[in-house]
Parts: sequence; C-alpha cells; structure tokens
Amino acid sequence: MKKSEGMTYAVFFVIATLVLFFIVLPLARLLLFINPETAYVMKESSVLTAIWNSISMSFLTAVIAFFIGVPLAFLFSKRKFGKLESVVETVADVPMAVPHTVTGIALLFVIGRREIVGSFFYNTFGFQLTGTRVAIVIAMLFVGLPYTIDSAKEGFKKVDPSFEKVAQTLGAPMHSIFTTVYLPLAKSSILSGFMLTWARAISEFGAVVILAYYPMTAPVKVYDSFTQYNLSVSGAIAAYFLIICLAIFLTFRFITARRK
Amino acid sequence: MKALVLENLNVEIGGFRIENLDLSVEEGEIFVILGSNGAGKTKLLETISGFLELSSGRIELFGKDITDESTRDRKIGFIFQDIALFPHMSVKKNILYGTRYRKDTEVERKFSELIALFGLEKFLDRFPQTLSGGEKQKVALARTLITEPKLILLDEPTAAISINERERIDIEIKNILKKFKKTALFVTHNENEAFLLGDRIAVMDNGRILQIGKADEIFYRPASEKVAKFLGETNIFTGMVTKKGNGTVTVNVDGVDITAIGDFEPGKRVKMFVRPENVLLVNEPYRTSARNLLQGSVKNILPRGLLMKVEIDAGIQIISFITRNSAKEFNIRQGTELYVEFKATAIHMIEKR
Repeated sequence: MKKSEGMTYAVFFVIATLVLFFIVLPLARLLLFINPETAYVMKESSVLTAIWNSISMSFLTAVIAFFIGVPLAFLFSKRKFGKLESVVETVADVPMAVPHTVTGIALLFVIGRREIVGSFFYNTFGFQLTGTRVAIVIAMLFVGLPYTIDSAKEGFKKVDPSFEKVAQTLGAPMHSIFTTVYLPLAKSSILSGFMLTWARAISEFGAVVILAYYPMTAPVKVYDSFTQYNLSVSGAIAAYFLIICLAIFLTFRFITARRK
Repeated sequence: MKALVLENLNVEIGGFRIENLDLSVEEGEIFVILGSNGAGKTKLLETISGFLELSSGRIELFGKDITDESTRDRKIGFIFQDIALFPHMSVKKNILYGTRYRKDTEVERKFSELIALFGLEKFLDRFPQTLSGGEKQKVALARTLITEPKLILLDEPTAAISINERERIDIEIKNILKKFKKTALFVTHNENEAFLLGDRIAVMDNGRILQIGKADEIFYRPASEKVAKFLGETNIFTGMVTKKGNGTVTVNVDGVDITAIGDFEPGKRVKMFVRPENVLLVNEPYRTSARNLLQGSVKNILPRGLLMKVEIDAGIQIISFITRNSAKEFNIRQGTELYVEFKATAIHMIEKR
C-alpha cells in the first residue's frame, strides 16, 4: 500500500470506529439493565403481552406487505405506469418522509369512528377500529410498506429480461413466468424487504400510540412505564425487548444468508 | 415447402426501422443473417418471435398467418446471445421447463433421447453457473428442442465463446439442427460463421436486406459495394467499358486497361470487385490472354492475421493477401518492384448506378 493510500484508509478507519461506537455504546449500556434484580419485569404479564403484541403484529404486517407490496413492486419494475411512473413511485415512498405522529393523526382522520372508513366498519361490523389490533397493524403497514416495495422493485429490476423472453418462447404464460422466474430470482431482495418492513413495524411508536394506546405494544409499554414508574423499570423492559428483537433479526439473517 | 415467409415487414423501434423487408426460409434450411452491430438482426428475430410489434406486413409460419399471435402460441424457439439458462434451476429443470406448458405424452422418452444425444447425463443436477460455454449451449438447445418448435431462432449464440471452441460448437449446432430437420434462422456478425452454417445467407445493414444467396454468390458476386466491403477488405475498381470482345470486356480504370468476363456495352460505367487473395504477385511477367498483368511497386506491407496484406501502386491501387512465407521468400518490402496478376474470371462486375 502506498503512503497516501494508507493515510486515506487510516482516516476512514478512525471515522468507522467512531460510527460503530455510536451505534453499540447506547445499546450496550442499555443491556446492563438485564440482571437478576430486573428479572421481575419479565414476569409481569402486561410486559409479556406488549412484547408479544409487537412481535406478532409486526410479523403480520410484514406478511400483508408482502402480498400487497410485491405486485405493486413488479409493476414498478416493469414501468407499467407509463408517464405517471415517477409520480406513482414517489407516492409509494411518501410514508417514509411523513413524521410518525403526523401519520397517526392522518390515519385517525380516516379510521376514526366518525370518519369515512371508520364509520363504515362501525356500521357494518359493529366495532370501532381505533384502539384495536387492526388499527395497530394499519399504522405499522402504512410506515412499513415502502421498504417491501422498494426492495422487491430493485430485485425484479435485476432479473435479466432474456429470462422472461425465453420462458415466453417455451410457452409459459405470464403468471407462471412470475412465479417460476421472477419470484425465485428476486427472492433475496424480497426477503430483505420483508425484514426491513418487519423491523420498521416493530419499532413504530408515534403512529401506533395515536391510533391505539391500548392494546399496548412494547414501544408504547416502554414509554408508558417511563412516564408512570421510573427509568430503571422502563430501562429493563427496553433491554429485554432489545434482546428479543436482536435475537429474531439475527436468526433470520443467518437463515437467509445460509440459503443463498 | 416454405417454413417462414416475411412479407413487406415494417417495424419501428425508437429511431430505428426495419423497412419493407421480404424474406423466405425453406423447410429444413439453416438461413443465416449476416450483419454488423446495429444492423437490426436481433430486432428482426424479436419481431419474428413476437416480442416486437409490426407497423405493417405479414409473418407466415408453415402457411399459417401468425402476425397477430402471441409469442407463446407461435411455437418458435429462441436461443439468446446470453443463452439465458435459468440460474436457479438445475440442468434437468431447465430442459424440462417448457414441457409443463405443452401437452405431450412422450416427454420422458424425448428427454432421455436428448440427454443421451447431447451427452448431458452427468450434468442433470448441476446448475448453469458451473457449466462451460459449450455445455450451456447444449442445455439451451435441448430446452428448446424438447418443446418441438417449428422454427428456431439463434441470436449470436456463440458470441461469448472463444474462437477455438466456436467452430466446433457451430458444427455441433449445425449437425443437431440437421438431425432434427429443424428450420433455423441464425444471426451473426462473423462471416466465417455464416459461411460455415448457412445454407443461404442474407446480408443485412441498417434495417434492410442487401443480398440473399449462397455463400459463394455473396462472397464472389456481391450485389453492391456495401456487401463486398462487409465481407472483408477487397479491391473495388470503378471504370468505363471501352471494348467488348468475345465474352470479355476491357475496362479503363484511371488509365489502366483491365480485362474481365462480362457483357457490358462500351461506354457503360462499371464497378469491379477482386478478392485480394485472388491477386498474385510475381517477379517475372508472363502473359496469357485471360490474365491481367500490371507492373507496380509495393507501397506498404502489413500483417493481416496469418497472412500479409501488400498494398501496390500499379497505376491503380491494388491490395493482395499473400502468406507470410511467400512475403519472406520474395523479399517483399516497401519499394519492391513487381508484377501484379489476376484472372479475368476472378473479377466480378456490376453496373455502376
């Protein structure tokens, strides 16, 4: 390595080290809350319910995002919206730029009991959307969907167009080409979109807390105990939640990396 | 019987157009389309297979109008330049891919036959990434053949294969197409490949067919200067007929008289083509009636592949290809005085328009 090159890399390494510290330090500090004295929070049923709510509903969100986001992503990758393409793609990405509490308020004006969708549900099925698991999933879906769409879109774009052409000359109809060629070849991008959406959904607080304070999700529980009790209780809940999230994501990452 | 008939085809893609193209391919024929990059060869294949829409014209396959049929209904095989084996499927799954979409009770028999013929038995569970260029070719051919296409289009399938291997694979492709009595349209920019494979060849340039014929016809009797130039460097002389004799004519080219076989009236302007390998260089003059013999001096001598290209000024500028050995033997260098000789029968003449 030449001396000038060495300097550049050295500077970059210093910056990289600082960045890693920036990420690891707060999380590591938080993990100190996991000790025998705080183990009691994990025996608290409201805490366990909140964590289960977060994991299950965010997973459900990622599954729904897969089924409704992947077809949209496929249309985007094929530029099927023509002249409106960039407008439509921007619309699909807008949720990423909307502040979370703003998202919550905006959704409230649609699914609230007296609002257009909310009143329809209330009159037809006799239940109020706000304050339910349905409302939580709606909030999570709104903020998480763009990640599935963007990842899947990039994945589909990377599929060589000759594969589709070859499949056509061999007699395959479009729906078969989608399931036998595009889906498997974009699999890793779609999976990573699934993970990103899941992660985004599990972490959502602002929109969720406006639509449904109860049933509580883990982020809401952490905030709730922060205001109701003291820092060490909310710190302990946060630490256990962090460990569980990390375990889930690292396991998934490991499984998907091995399958490649 | 005619396998494929293209009638007055017009296609527009962006700024490029295929214009008024007519072509027909006989059943069992390997028809080569030869043209440089950007000539529209791939676009023509994509039109035939239905990926591109016609602005006007007709496509007929074995007597049936398929102009408005979808790609999947046309039953036309396509071997792509990048071969396009599905990377996530084993060789076996690749070959069987199309059989799910065509009703065929004899798939298993055909599969084992093809596998045996191509020698692919031990590759069945492997994935495309692990195959050599030649092996990929075979898998792609097997994948197409098992669906029994009426016509196979091949778009420069050997472009990515080394020159050494290419000839062997071309011969294999030819043998297989002939064995299965398949009609094929093969696209290439390489004239050697065209001559090796083509029962007939069409030279294509800028969306138009310039000439259709057998290899010799195109090589030795090009219909235009463009075709002649396309098949490698050649001598092109422009002159006026001054004398008409017994089946021969004398043409004045920049003050030099050249005798050629032809039937043109005195006063006609003509173009003459002489392949450089048909131009001989000699030390001593000896004249026969059928030969053109010109005195000149060497302007330049350059390596040209395995041969040497010699540029001679003999009143007119002439190039000749000779072997490296003869260049050494005759001690040919810049300024060497010598005689240039070519037969009247080696000259192809067309009227200058």
